[in-house]
Amino acid sequence: MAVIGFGSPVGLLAGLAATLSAIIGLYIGYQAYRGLRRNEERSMRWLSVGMILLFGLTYLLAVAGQGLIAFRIVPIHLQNVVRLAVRLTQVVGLACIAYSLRIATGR
Amino acid sequence: MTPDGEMAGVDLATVVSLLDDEHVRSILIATSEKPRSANELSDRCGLSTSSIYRRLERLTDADLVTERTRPRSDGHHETVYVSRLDRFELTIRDGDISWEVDRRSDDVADQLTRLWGKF
Repeated sequence: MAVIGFGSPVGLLAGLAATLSAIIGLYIGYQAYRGLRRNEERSMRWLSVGMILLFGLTYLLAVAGQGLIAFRIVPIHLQNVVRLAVRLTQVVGLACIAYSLRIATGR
Repeated sequence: MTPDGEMAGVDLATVVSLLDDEHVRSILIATSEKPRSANELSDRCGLSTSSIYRRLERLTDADLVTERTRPRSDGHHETVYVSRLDRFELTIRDGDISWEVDRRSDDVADQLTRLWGKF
């Protein structure tokens, strides 16, 4: 179970910190979504989507990917594919946030 | 931003008479920048604190200004005032009059929307 790494206290703390950052990130994403609904502000849509990708989806992918590998459902040599998926989601999420900033200030 | 003046139970005459006062306008301008105490407003507007308080009371009643507490360096708290008036719009068109007050809100989602645009 070295892949999950929850066996050690440090690994457990890392997991908790990841969960916490996902929760806080999703909270900001949720407020951005409410900002979109309340103010019909287009930039808030992209901020919301970006935060959800950056914190929600990457977290899910990382946890699910590691779990699938740890339980041998997915062969270990595909670990890098999971990593790539997580990084790609991060890039797309950040791009959404950057685009949101652009249209928020572009007026 | 919550539109509509009627929601706060304010009528047009109240808003207009408030805005007719130049000191009220300076209070609104000063408190739109950052929260300010009655003493700070008194210095800034060149008015006695009692005149400031009188106007602040009318503004609070009309929900154009809101109160907050601010911790002071000596450990006490003081009341500071923040403008809520964002936009006042009067439309007279085709034999009809309508008006609207946009208020700044304390809602996190609204603050995020405003903040994001300022970057």
